[in-house]
Amino acid sequence: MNWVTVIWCLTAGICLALAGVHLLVWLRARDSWLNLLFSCSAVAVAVIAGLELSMMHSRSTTQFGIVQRWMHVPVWLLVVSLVWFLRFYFGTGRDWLAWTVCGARTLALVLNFASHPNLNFSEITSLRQIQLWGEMVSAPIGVTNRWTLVGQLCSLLFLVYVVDAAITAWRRGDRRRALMMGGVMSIGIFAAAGQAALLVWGVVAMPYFLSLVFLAIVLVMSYELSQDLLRAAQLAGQLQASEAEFRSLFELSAVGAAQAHPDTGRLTRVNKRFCEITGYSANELLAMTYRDLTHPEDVVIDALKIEAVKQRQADTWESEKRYIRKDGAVVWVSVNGTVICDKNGLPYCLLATIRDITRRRQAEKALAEHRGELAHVNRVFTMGELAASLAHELKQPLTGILSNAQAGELLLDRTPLDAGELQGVLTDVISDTRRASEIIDQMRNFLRGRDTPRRPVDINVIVEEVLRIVHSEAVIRDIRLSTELEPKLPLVMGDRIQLQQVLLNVIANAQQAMVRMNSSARRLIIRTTQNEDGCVMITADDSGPGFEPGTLGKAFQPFFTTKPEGIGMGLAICMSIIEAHSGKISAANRPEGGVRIQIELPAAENSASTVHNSGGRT
Amino acid sequence: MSTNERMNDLQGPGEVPTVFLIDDDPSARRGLARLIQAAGHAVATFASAREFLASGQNNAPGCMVLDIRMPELSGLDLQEQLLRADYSMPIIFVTGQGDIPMTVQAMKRGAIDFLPKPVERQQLLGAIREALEKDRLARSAREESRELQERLQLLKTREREVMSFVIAGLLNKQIAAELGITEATVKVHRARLMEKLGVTSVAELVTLAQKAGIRATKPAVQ
Repeated sequence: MNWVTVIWCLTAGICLALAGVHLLVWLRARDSWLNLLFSCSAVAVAVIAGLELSMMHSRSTTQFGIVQRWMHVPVWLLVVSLVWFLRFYFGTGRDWLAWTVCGARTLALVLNFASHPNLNFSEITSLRQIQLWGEMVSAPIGVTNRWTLVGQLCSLLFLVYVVDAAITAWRRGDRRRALMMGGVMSIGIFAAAGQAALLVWGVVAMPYFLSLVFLAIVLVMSYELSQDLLRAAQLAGQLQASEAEFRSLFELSAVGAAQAHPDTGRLTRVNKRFCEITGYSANELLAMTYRDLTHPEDVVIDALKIEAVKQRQADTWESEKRYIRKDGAVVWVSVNGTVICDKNGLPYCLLATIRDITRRRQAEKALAEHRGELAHVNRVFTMGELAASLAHELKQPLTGILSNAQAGELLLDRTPLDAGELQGVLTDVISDTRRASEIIDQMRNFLRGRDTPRRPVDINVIVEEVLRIVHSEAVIRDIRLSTELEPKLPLVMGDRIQLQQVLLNVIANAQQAMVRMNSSARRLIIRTTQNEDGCVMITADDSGPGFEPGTLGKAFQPFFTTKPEGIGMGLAICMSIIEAHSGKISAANRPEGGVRIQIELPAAENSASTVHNSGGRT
Repeated sequence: MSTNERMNDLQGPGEVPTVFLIDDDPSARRGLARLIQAAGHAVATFASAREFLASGQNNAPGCMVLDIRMPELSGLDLQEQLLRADYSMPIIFVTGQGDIPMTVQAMKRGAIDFLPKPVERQQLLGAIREALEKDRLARSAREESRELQERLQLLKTREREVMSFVIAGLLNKQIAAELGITEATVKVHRARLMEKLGVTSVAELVTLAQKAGIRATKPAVQ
């Protein structure tokens, strides 16, 4: 053994060892392509080192030529690996250059095997024996193959590619790596290509040192990769710490917290507070899905919201819904949740915080009831005010009329008759009568809310708006509200607010009528359809007690009411609004029980085109 | 019917008693004024309480027909203001909407009547008659007491003392003893004061004293 053998063998050994390590890394994480490319490069360098040693110890020109020819295989592998290593490592480098370099190297490989003895020489005339570190080694002397230019051109392109990629990386701020990797690669390529050129063109006679240059590149690459491994290890440590922090936050949180599988809904993690809210133990919960806990009526809405988040239409969802506790009690909870995705963007976990808002809900319910009472008092008060005001206003002209007429009686008894004064009496009576009539008109206009401009309105939108308003009250009163809306409904010319008021009144009547029914039987269905005349129909079917026989005809009369606390203006106002819209409103008892209120409104003229225009809006 | 009402047409000497009608509503005002006028009363109309106060006629003979609900100064407010003055004519309230507390308040303060609009003729004219009569009586009573006071002013101190004993029913002898003068002097005082006051008997003197509000003086020692 001598120094040359030791050094070259050592080079090969180091390269193989590093290749092995990184190959293992790649085997464990198949998408870490950098490690695989590094392994390929290192193996290629190891083979190059072996072949170089073999060339140095060649005793014949033929043997040298063959070995040198095979040398181009690991060189090809090395170049291709390095090109793509850099491509992935920096994320920079021009694709077309990368492919050109690979293409050129492949061309060189093909030409190499087409030439004799190899790409470098068209003929090796002799081997010169050179003293190197105390050993005699062979160096070739021969005629240069002109195709060797292809290899040198490839090296030049490679150099350009590396420098370009490094400069781009530098500009992006990745300076250390750009300098380190770009520098060592450029120098390495320059040195290797330069030495090869000098040798081939016969300028100097010396053995190949390529593997030693490439070793430097491999070591730098390895160092850089190990930096990445180190960082990964640090991240793993931080992750562990953050996981621990998260766990304690999760467990100790004053609000309930739970994780669930995104598809099955199976709970995968729950905290103590969540167990308290639901009344189940953690183990029991982990065998359940969040749907098992949710009140049946809230499952659908909940599912829609979660689905929207899973589809990435929203980042988080919020819902106020009911859970059924283990003891059967209903608790209101406010849920804020999000979907956690893996790095491929696929949801792998639902994470939610859950707050018990039962108390708040109860307070709201009490408030809503109070508000309902207040609204009624207010309404009655307003009606009382209106009536008083109307009475006072009317009594003035009535006083004038009565007094004038009675004065007229007195004047008729006089002789001679005072025709002028009697004329005055009649003039005053007439003008006072007109005035009384105007007062009544004004009051009626006021009650109607004056004449507001009519606009094309979409009845379905109005129904939805009203349902949003009454939804919470319906929940409180345990009424199942549902809609069956005809999607392609013509528009109606109308006043949105007034039509909303009509629907609100109808729904409020139905809700109040159903209060005394069993809560499971409280149902209200709002339908919209178009009848054969093209009119828009709104139907409200409740499951209340219905009208008593004989009272149906009075339903729309003012001051008719079946409710002890009612004042009987609701449907009368509805009727005047609908009639002002040239529509019809009717009430009937349904054969299956309950009342059907039916409203018919004429479609707006040329509403076909308006519907078309509004298609995008709704 | 009309003859009865025309009886009120009889005008006394001096100023004509007038019905002061105050109502902010023109229809009601014109109608009521015409009715009152047709019944033979003199009418003066005002659109507001302030307008009436500005006219300075609150001491004129007559009565007031007053709407309760008026802007600025209501009928009740005006009543209160007039009551604070020396004398106010009788008031008849009319209203489009009166409630019980309002009525009670108005009546407690001496309103003649409280009539709902539209007002019935008999009620209104009856109330006006009553009010004018009350006003007339009040005025003559005031006149009488004013004259009486003037006559009482003529009495000397001693005569006044004697008078108070006379109406208390004391004999001349007793009066003389009370005042420490002779019975003859008492007689002279007595004759003079009766002459000054224009009465001829003790009974007349007692009535007059009652009207004038003079108290009888009882002897210190019975």
